[in-house]
Amino acid sequence: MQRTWTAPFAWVGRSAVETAAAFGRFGVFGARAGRAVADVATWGRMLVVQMARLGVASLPIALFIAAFTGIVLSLQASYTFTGTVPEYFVGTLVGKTVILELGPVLTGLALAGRVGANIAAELGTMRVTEQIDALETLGYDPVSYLVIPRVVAGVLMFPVVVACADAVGVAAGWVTALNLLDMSTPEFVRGLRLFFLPFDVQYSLVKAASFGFAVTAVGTHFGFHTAGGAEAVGRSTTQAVVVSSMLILVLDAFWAVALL
Amino acid sequence: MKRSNEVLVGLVVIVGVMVVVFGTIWLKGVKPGRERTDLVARFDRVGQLLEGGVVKLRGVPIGRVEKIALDSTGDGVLVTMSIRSDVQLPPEAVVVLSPESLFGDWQAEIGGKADPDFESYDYAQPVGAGVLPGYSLPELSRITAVADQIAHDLAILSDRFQEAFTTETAKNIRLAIENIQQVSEQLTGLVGKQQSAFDSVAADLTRTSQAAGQAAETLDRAFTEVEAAIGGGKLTGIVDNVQRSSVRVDSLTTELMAASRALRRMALGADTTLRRMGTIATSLERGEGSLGMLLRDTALYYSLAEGSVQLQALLKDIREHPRKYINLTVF
Repeated sequence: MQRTWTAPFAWVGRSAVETAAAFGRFGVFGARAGRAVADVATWGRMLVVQMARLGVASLPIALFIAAFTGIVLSLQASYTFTGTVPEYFVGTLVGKTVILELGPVLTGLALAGRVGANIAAELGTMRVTEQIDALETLGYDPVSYLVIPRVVAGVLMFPVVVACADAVGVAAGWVTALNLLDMSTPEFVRGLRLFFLPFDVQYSLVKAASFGFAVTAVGTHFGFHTAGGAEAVGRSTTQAVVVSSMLILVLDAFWAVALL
Repeated sequence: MKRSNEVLVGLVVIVGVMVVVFGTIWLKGVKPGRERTDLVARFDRVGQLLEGGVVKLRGVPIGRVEKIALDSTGDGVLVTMSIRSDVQLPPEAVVVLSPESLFGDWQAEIGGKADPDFESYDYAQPVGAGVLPGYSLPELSRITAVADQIAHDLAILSDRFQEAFTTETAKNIRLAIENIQQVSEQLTGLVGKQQSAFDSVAADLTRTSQAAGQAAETLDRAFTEVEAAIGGGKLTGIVDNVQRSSVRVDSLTTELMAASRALRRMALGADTTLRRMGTIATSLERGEGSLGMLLRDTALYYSLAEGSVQLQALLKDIREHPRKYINLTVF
């Protein structure tokens, strides 16, 4: 009886401690990563491999999502604008929405699932199989060797992937407008250029870089701190995907407040 | 494996960078290779103009808005526009900011201040050399606010009009209109009639005028003849003849009066004679005197009586028709 009514308090206290511990671990992890950045010789050799794995290999899914996003946006814009709003605003809506929001966010969420889960699972497995311990034993800094190349690759390749996704999304909306909405290219381009600002692209790329950092940092953190067996690897993977996805949305709101 | 990774990553990065660079340039509407020049204009306000807005000259896009910033005084806004350097600006160039469509996109339009489309605006005074004066059209919200005020005023006016213009007023106005219509119709008829009368009078006047003209001619001729007569001495002779005739008429009148008096005396005398003859006849009937006795004869009596009757008829006829028996000649 006594345990029953104290249980909620115990849960709150435990959660608070765990949260504080998580932030603490993440802070320590960040500090180690910060120190490891200087070890370019170690992580530089792994960078291209990670860029290929995180960026190039992620292009198909990112472009696939972007293409269908552009198609749907174009059709929904036309459906919404029936009436007083001119058709060329389909181009405006597709361009603005894809570049400013859906391109970076949907790509980030997709890569959070693919890349974040991959990193967390890989590092978690290395942790539970003591490969990371082995690296330390061999004198390698596991953070320099495993974490920094992934995080840097994520920061560098996410904008590239998002740029390609933006282009494909707009192109898909354009093709859709031409073939399904009976719009002309000048109409669509007029709408596309109507409110376009170069800042839109900068905004999109900055968001993408921050998403890349968040996804890779969270993935490496949860993978690096996996404790236990295979179950812990799965839990770390899940946590990495959930937290990185949430972090993407939080960052999305943050950049909207900070830059727009 | 490592080599292929590098190629792939390099390829993707290059594609990504190209997408960003060329996509931005294309969406910005910039055509590489064409020389551009900056143009600065000063405005009191810039409405909803944004960086990247279209710059037009006579409706043709010639550039984009590069920068929008408050000027050093804080009283105006300096807008920097990047336009094609081969474009010839009109003399006394000014810049007007206006909505490009109804959906919030604004443009900067360059024109000459002497152009009728640009001359009526109150341009912001440029500060510094090379800065063009600019004017921003009112935003939709300001126009809406003014329209709202107008609508409010119209509502007040409508209420007042509604108070003044009752159903009774409408009926009166309708009646007045009908009356005016009737008066108009009557006036039309009257004018028609007056027109006929006027035509008739005019015709009469024409005829009268012609007759007067003829009379004037006749009179003129008569005057001419009179003048001729006066000049020739005929009139004096006529007057003399008339005077003489008058004298003769006076004389004749006197004679006629005398004759009348004589005739009256003669009638009286005849009457007396007849009375005497009656007396004589009576005596004769009575057989008095010798004559009477002579006349006792019936035949003689009847003869005398008949003679008496005829004599009376004669006298009567003379009294009534003296000219029958008395013929007077003057000339």
